[in-house]
Amino acid sequence: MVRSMDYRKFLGVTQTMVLPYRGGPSVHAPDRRLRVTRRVAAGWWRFEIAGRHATPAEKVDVPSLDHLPAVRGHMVGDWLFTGGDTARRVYLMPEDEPPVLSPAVARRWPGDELVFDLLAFEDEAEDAARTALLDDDSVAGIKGVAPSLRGAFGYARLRREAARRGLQVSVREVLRQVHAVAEGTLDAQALLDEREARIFQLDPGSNHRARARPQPSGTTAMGTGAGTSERAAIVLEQAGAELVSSRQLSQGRQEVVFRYLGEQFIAVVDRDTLHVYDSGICLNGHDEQLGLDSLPSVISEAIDRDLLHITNY
Amino acid sequence: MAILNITYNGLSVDYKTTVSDRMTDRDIRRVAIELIRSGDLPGLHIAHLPKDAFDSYVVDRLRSAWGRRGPSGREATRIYLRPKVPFGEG
Repeated sequence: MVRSMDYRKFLGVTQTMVLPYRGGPSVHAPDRRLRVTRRVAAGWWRFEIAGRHATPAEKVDVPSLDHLPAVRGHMVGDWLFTGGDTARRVYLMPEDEPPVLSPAVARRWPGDELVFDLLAFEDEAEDAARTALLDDDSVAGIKGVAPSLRGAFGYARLRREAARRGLQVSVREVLRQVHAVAEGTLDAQALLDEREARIFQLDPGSNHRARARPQPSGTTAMGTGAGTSERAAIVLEQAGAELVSSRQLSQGRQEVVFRYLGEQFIAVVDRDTLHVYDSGICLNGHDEQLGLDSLPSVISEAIDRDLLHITNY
Repeated sequence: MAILNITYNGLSVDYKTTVSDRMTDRDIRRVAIELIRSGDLPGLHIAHLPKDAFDSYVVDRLRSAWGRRGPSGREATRIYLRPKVPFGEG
């Protein structure tokens, strides 16, 4: 069989495509990842594609997503709980954050990320669960509570309690416990007490850092140290993670913000070698054994073993 | 085939040649010893690296969600040989 080469590759012809842009240096087309030539706000954009580069042309309304596989569950912030102990980050959320515990539908975009589609109809179980949440109660005894609602409730309960203490708690840190918290068999306050005590014992400064540090913006441009940023983007991509932003610090160090498994992590690495100085998770002082390449693998193991403690927010 | 990435003393390096993705964990540790001893990994040359240097290391295999080739067209299957680190347990 004779195969003909696509002549447009040689002419440099561009094509346009509507894609979900989440911020960061790249955007996912259906068949590949493209480098974004200009940073814009997160959202649905019409891109002009030339080779491996995508240039945002105009922001567009959310297109029909009906052809994409649906993923259903219950929302807490931008996390969609799809079962009792499974949750996925949802991107391109509506401007008005859905009420906590809302049933929702997300769509699976090629590359396996979820984008928001719509809120589903509620029933009495969501109403009753919200009341229990406000009363610092559990969902035990409420009829018709789906596993996804139970998971969402457990995390919402922990998040609410953590906020009272001026702390943050991530889904990946507590996913294994949310079911028990929702059922009332594990006390949310006791769980957070134990977490705070453990982190303070291992890394006394980290709780303060978590409180004091401002949230990084998902759409900030890369700072200086662009060569480091590009190398960091490559090694993270190869390891299944995605660079969000990067900025130069003093003493030859570079802060690297990246997404992995829907969670955001902040590491400090050597600008030249990508040797890790601060992994952003609790490693009992062993951070410097790692390179940035190996950090996602370490995070995976921490999640699998239910031992993830994020120290940099 | 796969790309082998080795982390030692806080430095991570890709081996420039692809390796079989069917190698056992034991084979990967053995190959890593040889690569570092021979100086085949840029920046990681230790002629007298002990033969048990990687005995406690973790072998992690990663395949991209995009298929055999990753989103940038690179080899998608990667094998990470990295130190086992504590997470504050115990």
